[in-house]
Amino acid sequence: MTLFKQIALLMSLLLLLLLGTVLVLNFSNTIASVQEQLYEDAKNTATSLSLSLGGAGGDESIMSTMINANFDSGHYRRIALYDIDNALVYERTLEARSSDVPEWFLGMVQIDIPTANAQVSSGWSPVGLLSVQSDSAYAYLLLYRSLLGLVGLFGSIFLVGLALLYAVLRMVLQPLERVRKQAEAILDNEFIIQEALPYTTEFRDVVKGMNTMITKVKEIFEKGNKAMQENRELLYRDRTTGLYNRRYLMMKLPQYLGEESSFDYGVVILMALHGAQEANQTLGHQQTDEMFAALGALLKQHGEGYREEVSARLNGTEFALLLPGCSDGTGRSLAESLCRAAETLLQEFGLEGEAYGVNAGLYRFHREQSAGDILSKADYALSQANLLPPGGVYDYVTHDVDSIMGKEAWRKIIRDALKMHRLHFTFRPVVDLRDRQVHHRVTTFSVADESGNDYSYGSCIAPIISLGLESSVYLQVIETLLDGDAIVPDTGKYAIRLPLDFLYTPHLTEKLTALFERHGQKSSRIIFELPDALIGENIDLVTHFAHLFKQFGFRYGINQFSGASRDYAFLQEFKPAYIKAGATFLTDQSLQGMHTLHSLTQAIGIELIAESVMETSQLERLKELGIHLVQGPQAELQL
Amino acid sequence: MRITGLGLLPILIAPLIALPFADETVVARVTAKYGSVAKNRFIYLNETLEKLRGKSDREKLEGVNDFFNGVPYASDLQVYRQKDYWATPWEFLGRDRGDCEDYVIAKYFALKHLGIDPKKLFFTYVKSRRFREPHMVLTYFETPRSIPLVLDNTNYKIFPADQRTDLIPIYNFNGDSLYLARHKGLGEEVTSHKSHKQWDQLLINIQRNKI
Repeated sequence: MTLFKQIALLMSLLLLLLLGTVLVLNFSNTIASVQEQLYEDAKNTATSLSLSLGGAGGDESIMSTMINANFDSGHYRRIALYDIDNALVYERTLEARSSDVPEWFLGMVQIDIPTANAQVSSGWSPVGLLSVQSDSAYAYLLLYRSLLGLVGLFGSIFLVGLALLYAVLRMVLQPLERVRKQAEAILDNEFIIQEALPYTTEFRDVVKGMNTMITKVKEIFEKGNKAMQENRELLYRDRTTGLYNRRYLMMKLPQYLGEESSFDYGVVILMALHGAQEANQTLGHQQTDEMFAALGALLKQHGEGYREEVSARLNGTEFALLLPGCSDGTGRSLAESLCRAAETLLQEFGLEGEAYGVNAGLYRFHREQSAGDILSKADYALSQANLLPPGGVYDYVTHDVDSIMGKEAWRKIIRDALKMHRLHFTFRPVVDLRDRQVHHRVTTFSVADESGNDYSYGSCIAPIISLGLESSVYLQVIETLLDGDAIVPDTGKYAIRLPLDFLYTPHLTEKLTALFERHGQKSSRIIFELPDALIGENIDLVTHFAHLFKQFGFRYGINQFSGASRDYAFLQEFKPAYIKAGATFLTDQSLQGMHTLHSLTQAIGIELIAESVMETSQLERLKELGIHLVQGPQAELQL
Repeated sequence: MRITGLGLLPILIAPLIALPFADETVVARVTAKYGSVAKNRFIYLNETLEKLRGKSDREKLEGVNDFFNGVPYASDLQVYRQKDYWATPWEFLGRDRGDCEDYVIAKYFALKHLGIDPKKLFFTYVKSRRFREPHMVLTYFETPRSIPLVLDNTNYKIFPADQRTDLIPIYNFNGDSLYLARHKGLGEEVTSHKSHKQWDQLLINIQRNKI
């Protein structure tokens, strides 16, 4: 039973008791008052009648007529006249007691009707005694009417009292209701602070306590966020230049490879600076650092315009620029431009002469390669470049992916597939290692051509994006998922990865809203995954989509997490169902880093999932790190 | 014997018979309130009544009538600042002033103290032809049907009622007799002690020894 009901019940009983007591007292007083009144009436009658009887001169017939007249005109039970020897002379008694009051009332209320006496005198001598008693039936009727009136009045007071009690209790207990909402909000990882403190001292203390607790939880979350950023800075940043380090490049590179990458190819430019030692001697340590910082800025500047570019300082004198999706020709001109700008920079710092210079090696990779292979090829290109004169660029030419199949051919295949609904779906499981059950499934698709050739997601996604068809494809994928009863099994949850390019589609909100309104029945079973890169790039857009999904009852997740964003505070408001990070990223984390990541996610109840788990060793390491949800080839083997 | 609220009366009356009319407590309180002159009046009253004990009813009537008729007359408005007030014998003698009812009351209780049957005594409302105003006297009935003797503060001598042509009798009243009235045929207890408003209040004052 709620506190409200308990207090309401207790107060109602007290009110009832109070009113009942007052009613009984009031009615008792009324009874006494009626009795008193009856006696007074009888007494008045006795006195006045006795005076009249005195004038009758002892004539019994006159006296009895006088008594009859009085008896008939009023409410009397008995009027009797005795002579001087107490012998009854004349008497009138009410024969039948007619009553309009119910029997239970007569049984409940006892009224003593006193008899009033008066002496009857004739001249100097007393001649008798007159005895008058009022009729109790009349008194009962008066009392019964009085009781009905009192019950009506007190009943009304009781009802008004109950209404007031309800209103007051609602008002007084409202802070408690708000505390309940606060507590429930914590379960949903929302942090509500009650600004207005209640008047009631006890409730005010409770609210203060709740506010303090919620502030603490919020602080824990914010500390976790901050610690992660700091950790990330230490782990992946070069302090001098502000660029990423080799470790970050090694961690990030695999994300652009493999089937799940939305890039088909890219370019790695490695740049080496010659004469760093001499520069240190010439410029001094501090100015040399400034020169490196300027070089870092230059590198970033050249990477601008490329989505998900990575600019890193690999060691003291070597830099890397990773440009996913960058084409061969553009890469080369970028490398040359970079070298020229770097040379100019060196000159600006007064580092001129043969000892100083930069060279760049260029390698164009494609998604099917391994990270190690790419870096070794890029290293080779740099070593070759270092043999060239300062400013020279070595281009490690490989095959052109686009040459395998022309853009127009892809365009036809994809458009036909959309038109003929030839998208084929596959669902890859995310496994909970603790019970080896499927946590949810990740949707992927392939495109079939008219001849029945099936192009996997890995082979078709890059052409889809480069042809700008991601919007059409993904809208159809989403619609099919939401609508296709035959496609999505009846149970379980299904995730759909939304590529970065797709999320920038113009008027996407309107299109998705229309889709959700038409096919929102499965909202609780569909999870949309947003790439972590979008958080770093456009947090407003992430918030916007998170809000849109929440509005229609969908959950959302973050994938390809790398902690690159400066602020994850929005997670409090739009809590994702989970965060997915690459197995390489996670296994690369220090214990401290993992602890921070855990506290960030656990503080607001977000699940952490390792994706792209390729090796058994990774699986074991992930278990050690306390990560039990995995996705990738190794995960599928666990079922 | 039927036990009723009236059973309290003997308890009220008994000490009056066994003890002096005004006991020591009453005398002490009167002295404290009204002074030693008043005290002397009470001592004189006790002595007068003591002397009348064992005498005939007529002698008792004469003695009591003479004693209280010695108290000067004053209206209730003058003494009590009320239009009509029935004073206890203590108030009456203590203040040494009173109106006709106060004389009747004091005489009634004094005679009752001396053993006169209260059923023979009546408070009689009369109209005084001489003063042309309502008046009250104490009447004594030797027998229920005999002509009563009139004890009047305006006439120091006791006369039979038929000789008091200056008085027109209106109404007889005896509080004690009313209590004792029988209620034939009702078979009910008398639960109220009340019969006459002024009389009831007077009894309460006497019980409290109001001075």
